[in-house]
Amino acid sequence: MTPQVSWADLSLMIPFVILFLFSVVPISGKVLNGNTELNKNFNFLIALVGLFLALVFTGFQTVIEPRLAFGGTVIYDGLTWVGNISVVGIAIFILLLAKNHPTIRNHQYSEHMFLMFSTLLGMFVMNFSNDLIMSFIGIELMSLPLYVLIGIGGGDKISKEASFKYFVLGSFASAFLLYGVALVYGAARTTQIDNIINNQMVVQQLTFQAGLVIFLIGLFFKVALVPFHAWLPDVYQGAPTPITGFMASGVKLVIFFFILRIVPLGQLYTQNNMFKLFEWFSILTMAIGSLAALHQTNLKRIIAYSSIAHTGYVFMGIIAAIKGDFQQSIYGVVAYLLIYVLMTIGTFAVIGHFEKKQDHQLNLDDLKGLANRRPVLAACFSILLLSLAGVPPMGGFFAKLMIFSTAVNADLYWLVVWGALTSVMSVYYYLKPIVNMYMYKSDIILLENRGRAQKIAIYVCTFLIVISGFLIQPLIEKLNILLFP
Amino acid sequence: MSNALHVGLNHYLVVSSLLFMIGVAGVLVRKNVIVILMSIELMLNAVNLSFAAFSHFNQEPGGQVMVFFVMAIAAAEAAIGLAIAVAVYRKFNGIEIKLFENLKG
Repeated sequence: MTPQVSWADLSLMIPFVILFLFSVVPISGKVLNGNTELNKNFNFLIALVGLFLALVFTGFQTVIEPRLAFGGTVIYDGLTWVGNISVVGIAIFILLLAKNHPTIRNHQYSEHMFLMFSTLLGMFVMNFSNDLIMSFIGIELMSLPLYVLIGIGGGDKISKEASFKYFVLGSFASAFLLYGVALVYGAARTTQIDNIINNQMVVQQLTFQAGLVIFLIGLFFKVALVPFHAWLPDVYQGAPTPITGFMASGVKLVIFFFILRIVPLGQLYTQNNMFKLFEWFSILTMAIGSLAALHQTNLKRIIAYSSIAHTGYVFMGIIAAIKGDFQQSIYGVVAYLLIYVLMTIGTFAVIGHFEKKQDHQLNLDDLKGLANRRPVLAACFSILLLSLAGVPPMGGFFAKLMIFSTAVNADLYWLVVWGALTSVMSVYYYLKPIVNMYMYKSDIILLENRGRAQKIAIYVCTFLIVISGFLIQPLIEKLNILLFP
Repeated sequence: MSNALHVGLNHYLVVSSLLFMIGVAGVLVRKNVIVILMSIELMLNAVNLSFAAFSHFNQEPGGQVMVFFVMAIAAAEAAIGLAIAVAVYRKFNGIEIKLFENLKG
């Protein structure tokens, strides 16, 4: 069998190739220029042009019907399209966040750019993958530059420590994932997801089921579901804030999109008791994420724990997709992830905006009296936090509502009760920064780093969150056309 | 020796899983950063062994191609791991994991 690669297959990869070419421009310029950095604004512009071109080309490749390419290892359907568009969008925001951030050192800006684009390419591979080994390559291509991006930033100890912790636990998880792929391959003689799903005989084998469980454990490590979450707060706190935003939004989004692809395999688990365990994962994730955030004082750490809690809500949507109506639940999960991405990027943009130097850690007390000095930023931050908490007029409320209603439709009342309880709990720690900003006076003057780019990111995210209540209905109609043509 | 031991798929799988478990134990127990990196490599190579074994005994050549992918990725991972270890050594003056106490809570 010779693999057939057609022009139609290659044309799917145009955004991918564009991103790769633009990723090497700044760093090649640096090398040709005698190892001195080109103009920072020029590099920034190059990266922005590359991202916009990728966005336009992806936008043109609208999906009519799902199709496989490159001998079945690549799938191109609505989920891929939505994933690619949102990942490029996330990268544009992160570019804005990183523009003037003190942890992104000016003499390493082109390296930063190259690594960020490499991560982005890994996310593309994840979105495209219809093959377990492809997904492994995607995860590695996404994680390896991230390990460096975390460590490259500061002259401080914590970023090195975070980088190493993420490296060890990330590689550990990848090795588990790969072992799972090997067992699945041994049982099914293929790693293509659609072939595996259609082969009922294989799915009953014990080797296959063991392999799938090990594979899923690897994925759960990467999204930090609760038994496997211990690395996340340390890494999110230690990483440079723009990179934290990238991890919290992009990495989670693509891995959950990939989990949605293998949800049809999960349906086979109704025969077996694995499900109960997954429900517990979701409950524990929501509960521990919310509980551990209660007594934190470091702002980034609070948002990191809240990110764990949100992972639990998304996972509840995925369990609903396995157990109940797949079509309804998938809207919930996708819409939740899109809104969550906006909220986290906005939050990390605000936090990053107030970090003056490399190892500056923002605490809750630093926010005191902020509303008097910077009323607009304080209002934006409050809106983003209220949205994360799920307070009605904001986007976060509608996202949570959709997840909860799909879970109710799938008869997961038990999970919904836990979800509601933990949401109520989470309001406490989301309100703490708001109370500090509005109710206290303080002499400590919190300086912002001069960054117009960051402000743009904050305002755009806040605006989208405020109007997302109106956007959610058109979004679902659009998703309906895209995901189920 | 007429009844020489016949080495089958299961033998390979047992060796592979043992290697994998040794790697897991190494990551969890050892305190030195370099040894942890070696243990991670060991885990990946254990997986390579089972890919190759499955590929041979199932008469399915795809598995051996995957081994090449994994080897390439393992090399990249080792390079990045050692680079991080060097950066850690410069900041902390040591590569023991007990030095990592700045982030907790």
